[in-house]
Amino acid sequence: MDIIEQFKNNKIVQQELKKIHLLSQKLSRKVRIMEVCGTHTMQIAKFGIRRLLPQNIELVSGPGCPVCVTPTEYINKAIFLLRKYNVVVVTFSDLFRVPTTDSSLEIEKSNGYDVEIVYAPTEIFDIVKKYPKRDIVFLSIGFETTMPSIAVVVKEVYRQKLERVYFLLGNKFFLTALEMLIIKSRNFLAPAINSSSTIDGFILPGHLSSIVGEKVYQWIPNRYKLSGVISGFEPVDIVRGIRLVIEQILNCDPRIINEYSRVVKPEGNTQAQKILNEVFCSTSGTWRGLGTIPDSGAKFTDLYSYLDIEKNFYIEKISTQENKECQCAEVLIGQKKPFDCKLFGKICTPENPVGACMVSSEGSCAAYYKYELL
Amino acid sequence: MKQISLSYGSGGKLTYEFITQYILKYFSNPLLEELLDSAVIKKDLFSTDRIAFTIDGYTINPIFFAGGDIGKLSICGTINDLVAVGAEPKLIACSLIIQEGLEFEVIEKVLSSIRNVCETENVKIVTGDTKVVERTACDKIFITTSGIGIIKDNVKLGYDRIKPEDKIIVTGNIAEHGFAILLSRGSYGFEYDIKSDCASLYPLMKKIFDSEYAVELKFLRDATRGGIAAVLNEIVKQNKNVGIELIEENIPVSDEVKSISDILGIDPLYVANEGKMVIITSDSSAEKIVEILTSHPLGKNSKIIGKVTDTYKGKVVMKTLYGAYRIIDMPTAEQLPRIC
Repeated sequence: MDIIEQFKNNKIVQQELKKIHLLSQKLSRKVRIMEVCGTHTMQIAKFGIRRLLPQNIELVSGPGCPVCVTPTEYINKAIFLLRKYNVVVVTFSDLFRVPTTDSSLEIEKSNGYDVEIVYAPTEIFDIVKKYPKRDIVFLSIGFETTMPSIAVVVKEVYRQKLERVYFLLGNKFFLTALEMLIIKSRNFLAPAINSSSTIDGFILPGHLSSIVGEKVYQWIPNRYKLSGVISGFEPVDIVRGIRLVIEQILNCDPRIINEYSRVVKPEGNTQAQKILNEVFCSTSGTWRGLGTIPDSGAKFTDLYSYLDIEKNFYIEKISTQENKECQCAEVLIGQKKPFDCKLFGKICTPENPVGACMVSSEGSCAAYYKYELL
Repeated sequence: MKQISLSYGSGGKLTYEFITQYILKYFSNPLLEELLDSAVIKKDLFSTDRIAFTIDGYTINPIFFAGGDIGKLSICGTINDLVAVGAEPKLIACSLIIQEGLEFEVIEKVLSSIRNVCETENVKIVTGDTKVVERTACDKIFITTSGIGIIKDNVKLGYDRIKPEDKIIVTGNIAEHGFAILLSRGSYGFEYDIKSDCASLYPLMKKIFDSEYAVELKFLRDATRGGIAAVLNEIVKQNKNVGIELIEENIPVSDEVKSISDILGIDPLYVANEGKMVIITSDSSAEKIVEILTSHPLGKNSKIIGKVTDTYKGKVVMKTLYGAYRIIDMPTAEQLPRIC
């Protein structure tokens, strides 16, 4: 069996599920496990894992989708740059269709503005060749997972002394937000702590952890007595992760366990961390759903700050009124399920998303809409 | 290298030169050679009650790709549309819109590819048109083909014929065309060998049409854009009395497509095919039909992938490899622009 097949193996999945069902009988109350990463949310929905779990184990989705937590103002800025300065906007495909009140990058492109979709940040160098006389703006979003590969490009732009290449910074430090999430969800539930609706443990993101390592999560058990399992994305990884969280809850032994050790090293990818820290440092960050969180946003370090588009071009601040009925804030911190939102599936659909979580292909509402509406 | 210019589409001397030196070089048959404004077809060509008539435009980028090119695609696609209503393809009308500056060498490569398919499939191009447009008006070459076919008397298809317990068959590994096109566009930094499945399905489907099981067929659909997910969702939208239940482990996907879809996060169910038929047939005929299909090279990976049900009316659901059911929704937006 090759390594990937080994983690897709149905026999092992069924064995893990059996263990989970046995363990669940020992639970005195319903437990809630949050998968914080959007890719996990999508995989769980795709494999139908929620439906295979006992009723007293609930999986809730967290804020780990970089597109979902990018505020509308960010897209407004990109559109302003297109319209006012006729720049070439370079973006990952997920942002392309995100709607603002009256537009999207997709609509702007169909109106004749230049929006280029890339799969990898390094493709920007081909775009520089394609538009030699234009200002080019890379829409730089993503968590610690994506930041190193953007940092490599930033360093290369600096080294090649490329003029007219800029970055619109929307990157976020996920780890900072995770703690805010715990605090928020506890405050939210202050009267009901230890009731059935608090978060009892985490399935921690695999890709992100491959960069940051496993040690950075120690505060989760230390400070909050919660357990976390760093998990891969195949079905075996996910059900095993769930089983390990349940075992810790039953043993009252909250720890961080690395189930994804084939990829995630204890110290993470130190080279990627080094490059990330050379190029980015923290500032306050605004999250769709979570609001402004100190130190959770990214800016360039002094050497590279001249590449920040906002330091070079005046950008008008256009704020967007978000729909009051939208429950994304609660969905993002696991307090509500997509089904609990009045707009879900009726007014808010992947074709016409209202809120953040329906926007991205990794958003929890999109995942529920796509796979769980049986 | 000689390139086409706007004058070739002007209707004058150069247009005539293009028709006689290029078009007739590749396509010659008595109907076309008359060079009339319309092809004049004798009614005795059609000895059956029903005639199939279709049209499709082809705008793919890139025009040459692993497993085919826009010429082959434009004929196979129209043939397959005819076959999907139970017809034997006969005549084709072909319109070319060419960007000025395209090399004649490229045009001839496309024409020769069209000719090859027409010859092996025994269909004739009997009328056509050529326009040359400015650089910004088109990308290299756009082809529109319209086709006429004769529907076999014993094949009766329709949404209303689909009933619970009918079986769903797909005629081979899915998603190869879409991934071949996607990979030919970008540099993804990994090695792959995926070819478009672009092919005429007539030789394969003829075996079913000519068999005793032809009367058992309920519905056919060429699973192009949107993949088999789109096709199956269209069916349950048209016939709301039924639902469709797929079995994930039965869906034929090559290992290569599986790993690339994992890496890129694109579900093969939503990816285009250009040589795969989705067949809905009676429960009792399904295995026999698969037997016939698998004996032909074009259908060697055919599988029964699911059944029609009255449990999930109006929905397509799939039993995943791990035993849970999940919905297969209509694809919402094009993942890849201009794949056909």
